[in-house]
Amino acid sequence: MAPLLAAPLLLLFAIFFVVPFVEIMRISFAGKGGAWTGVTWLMSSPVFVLVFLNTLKLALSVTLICLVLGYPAACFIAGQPASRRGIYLALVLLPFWTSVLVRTYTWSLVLGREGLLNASLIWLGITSEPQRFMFTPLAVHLGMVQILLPVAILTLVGVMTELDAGLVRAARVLGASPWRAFWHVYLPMTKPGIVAAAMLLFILSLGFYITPALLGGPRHRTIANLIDLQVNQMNDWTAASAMALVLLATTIAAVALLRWLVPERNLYGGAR
Amino acid sequence: MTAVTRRDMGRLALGGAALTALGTGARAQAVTITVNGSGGSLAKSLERIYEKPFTAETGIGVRATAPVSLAKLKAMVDTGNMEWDLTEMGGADMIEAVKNNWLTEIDWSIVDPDNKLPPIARQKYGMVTSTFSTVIAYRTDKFGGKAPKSWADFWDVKSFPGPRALQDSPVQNLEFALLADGVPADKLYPLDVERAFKKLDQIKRNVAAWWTTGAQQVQLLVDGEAVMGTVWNGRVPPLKKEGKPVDIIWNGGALQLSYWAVPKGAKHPKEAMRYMKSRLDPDKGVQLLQDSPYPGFAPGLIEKVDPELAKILPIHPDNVAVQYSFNPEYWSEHRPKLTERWAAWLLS
Repeated sequence: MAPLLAAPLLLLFAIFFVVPFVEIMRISFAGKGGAWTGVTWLMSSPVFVLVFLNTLKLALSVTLICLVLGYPAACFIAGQPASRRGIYLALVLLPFWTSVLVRTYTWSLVLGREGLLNASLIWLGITSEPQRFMFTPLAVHLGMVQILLPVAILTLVGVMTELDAGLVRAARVLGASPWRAFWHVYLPMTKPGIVAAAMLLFILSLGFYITPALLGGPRHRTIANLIDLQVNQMNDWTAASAMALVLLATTIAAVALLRWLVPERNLYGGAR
Repeated sequence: MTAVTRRDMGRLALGGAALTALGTGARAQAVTITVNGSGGSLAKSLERIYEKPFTAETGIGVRATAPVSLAKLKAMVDTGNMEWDLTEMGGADMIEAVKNNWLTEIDWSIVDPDNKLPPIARQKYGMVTSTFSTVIAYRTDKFGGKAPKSWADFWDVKSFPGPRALQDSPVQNLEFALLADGVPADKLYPLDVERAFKKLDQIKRNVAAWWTTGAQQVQLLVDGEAVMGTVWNGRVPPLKKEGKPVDIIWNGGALQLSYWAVPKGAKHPKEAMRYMKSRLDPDKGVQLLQDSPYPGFAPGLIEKVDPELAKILPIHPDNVAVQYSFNPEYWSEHRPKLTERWAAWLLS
């Protein structure tokens, strides 16, 4: 019975993932320039190496910022009585359900030279000339963090509401300061949630395309943007496929690393 | 409950059968060709001026798709699954497509039986359908009444201060840099790549944004992200009509051709070529120019255009005189290598 239940999904998976994946493998290893051209190009291209490192850096910093901002917010929501938690979760979900493209464009209205932020700064007399916010690292980070923050909060809230609050209370009763109780009891218990959120955030930011393309400059090009450039402007599918494989390998490596940090039974809310 | 369900099923089955009958009936009468173009507001004009009358006249339906993409054409040819019967194409893409054998030869006895088109528009694998130009656009309200006049002014951030916008591509930007550096328009090719990149180094810091789409070009100017940038000539007249403080200069513009081509493996090549023929009607051509200043070589078209409108066309003699002719052969050959260098230059 069990294999039968999984059959439709496996079929979909085979058609829409395995087949294209094998094709990508084939293109990247046997492009028009002969075997290994895709790989050779990657090794020899200074552009790829720089963009790859930039993408990793961007994904890491966005992940960290989302965790730092999302953790306290998730704590707060998880600490609310169940009746009120729904309202707060709705506030998180509302932007989450809004199109990424729309949210990205909205940032350009806020950050533009004639945008909301510059208008306010000039009105307040803080600056007389419009400052440049668009096409900077700040803009890319703001856009990506705002888009991914709900993912962080929702993942963390999921784990935190599963926790046994009695344990923290027990620590306090036994004389631990609030800080000590948090640091030695609460935080370790939420570690699986932090790791799960970090993994999701990192993987999602690795593949980001629209936000860096619209809010960033050429220095914020990500692997996804570079793949687009190879396919649409340089007509080089070999290089594009090879890059897609590297992106996939990086994702798998990240998942493996996190799995090693936190065994699977502790992930996905199985904290108790 | 069961009865209702059974009756519903019956109704559904009947309805389905009727729909299928209708579908096959319609299909037996005529074919529908898929025409791929740039989309946007231009697609609406084309539907009104050419596609609807063409369907009324011939019974051949026209389904418009967008955008123009060489990558998509390649994918369709490679997989043998050709969706398009006709597609628009840029000059360098055209050469690439011909080289790779992705196109069907045009049957000129269908498209232009009386041989009225000038030779430049009649090519083996394509018909020139329009001309356009990449030109400098600038904000008329930002330089205290002064107006830039050339690529040298584009580079001159002292006299014309403010952020610039250029396309994220070496194509044409290398030419523009050389023009700014004083290379005469007729001596551009083969490009002095080193000199071009050296000149581009000077402006790089002042380029706030590197656009990738036509919509972005004008957005950047209207939002004030850039006070000067490159645009396709047809993007600015509608803004001027709305009263936006923008204008273009023709001096140093890149005059280019765009084509109609029938992809290899297209399902209805004959019908597609009949549609191409309908694009040669000069009266319809004049109508289209009201919406979009990208004239083709339809015989008799230019004679019918209102002189005021003619002034904003890329092929008006005054405008042709100050532009340079873009060389798609050069770019077809050097684009991969130069694009790679461009990407590295942007990152450095």
